[in-house]
Amino acid sequence: MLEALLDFPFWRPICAALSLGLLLPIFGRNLVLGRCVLLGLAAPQITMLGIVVAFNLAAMQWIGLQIFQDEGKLAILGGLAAGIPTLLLAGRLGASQRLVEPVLLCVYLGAGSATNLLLAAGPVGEPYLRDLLQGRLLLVSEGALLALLTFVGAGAGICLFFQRRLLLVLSDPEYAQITGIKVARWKQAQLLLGGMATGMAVAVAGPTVTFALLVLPALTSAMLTKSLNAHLYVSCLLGAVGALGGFALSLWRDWPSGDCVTGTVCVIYAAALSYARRKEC
Amino acid sequence: MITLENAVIGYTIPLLQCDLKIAPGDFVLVGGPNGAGKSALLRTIAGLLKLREGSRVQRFGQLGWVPQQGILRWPLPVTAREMIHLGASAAGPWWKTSRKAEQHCQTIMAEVLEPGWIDRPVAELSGGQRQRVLLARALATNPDCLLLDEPTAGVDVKSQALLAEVLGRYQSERGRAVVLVTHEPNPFLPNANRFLQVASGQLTPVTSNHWNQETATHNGAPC
Repeated sequence: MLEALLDFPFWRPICAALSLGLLLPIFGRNLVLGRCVLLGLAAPQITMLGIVVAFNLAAMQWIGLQIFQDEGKLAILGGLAAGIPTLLLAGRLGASQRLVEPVLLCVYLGAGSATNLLLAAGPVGEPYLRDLLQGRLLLVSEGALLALLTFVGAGAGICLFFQRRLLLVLSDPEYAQITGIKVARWKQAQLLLGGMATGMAVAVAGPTVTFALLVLPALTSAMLTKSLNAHLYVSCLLGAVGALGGFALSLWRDWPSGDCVTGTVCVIYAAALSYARRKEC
Repeated sequence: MITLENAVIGYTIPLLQCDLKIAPGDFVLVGGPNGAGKSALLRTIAGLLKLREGSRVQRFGQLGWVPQQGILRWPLPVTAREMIHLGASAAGPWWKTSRKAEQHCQTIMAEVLEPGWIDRPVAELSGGQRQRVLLARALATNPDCLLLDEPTAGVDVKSQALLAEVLGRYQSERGRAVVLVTHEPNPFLPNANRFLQVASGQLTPVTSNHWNQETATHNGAPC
């Protein structure tokens, strides 16, 4: 049975799409609750820049040749090295109560331009990076899938285990602080986990798949549900439907998987928005 | 329970200089005009606002916090029951709710909320109902001192009376302290045993009559 399943040509992309769809909304939910929706858009873009920088450094022999030979490992290294500090720094920026959103928007746009400029410089591994930008679900290797499941799965498990405290700290930090909870530490821990998941997801599936599944399912679910528990389940369900639907569309039409997943999730969001508006009227 | 010594309170500029001691069983009403520093005083007591140099603050026991209603604009859906359970989890271990804490939550919910809307989303509740949810959440941690910032703003008379009744019981039966900031004459007057007026950078103890009169004056009532 297992052998038959492993012989099925699309088992890796389906597993990757399903795990990203089910797990990323758990991190996205924390970002929405902490009012950091824009960070969910900026972090994958900055992570992608980190990956491109890692490829450029490797081409210049800055990072050992051994790592450079495996593009997947190099992408993961670059993704984690950029994703984790990005979220932690954004958290510090938010804590200092400066205007976070304009800064994030500027960094997001800057990271997008820098990524394209570095790609134009023609680093070694350029085809891999172009695939990654368009979504790389179909090309996920067994090693990458295992790494994805380990990092993102462990991060999501920790978020769920600590969810009551995280929900309290993110939704009402003042109340949490007054009751004696170390708010800053919990926020940093949540951002560290989010950075890890974002870094790994971008390195394996690409930035478009990541930002489509990180925040949009949580935002869509907020319009359809009435309680925190229902919100969690519906977010994960919508993420999984969006990821699998997008992947199926990309196979059927032979379109880039990243854009298909993003398009599917956006259509679901638009449908939910229309439903919510009608209900209000 | 709470002691402020030589406290200079304010955001960017000092608003208020005061010494204050709050003991168990105190029910303190703090009044004064807008911008005088009432909320800043409450936030300082809560530890949300840092004191300036030379000031000292001592706090003992668990604090409860009832903020203004604006905090309820959550980006995600949450029911009244979920909000109260989340609030209660702050006082206990993060991995579980003990049976005792669970029972306490049930008691508080039965006392403060109505069964019909416990499982409704907070966003769909009226102003008075939301204020009761915030009060129940604060009481669920079983605090030694309860701090309330304008709890009657936008709340109808019936809900105001219920808030006053619950707070009165909490203070008299359990011997806990209550510090309540308001700028309207309100139903808490019979419960209160200390009255403070914030004006011209000073915190002054006054009588209940004087407090009531001053508060009415700030609200534009004829003297």
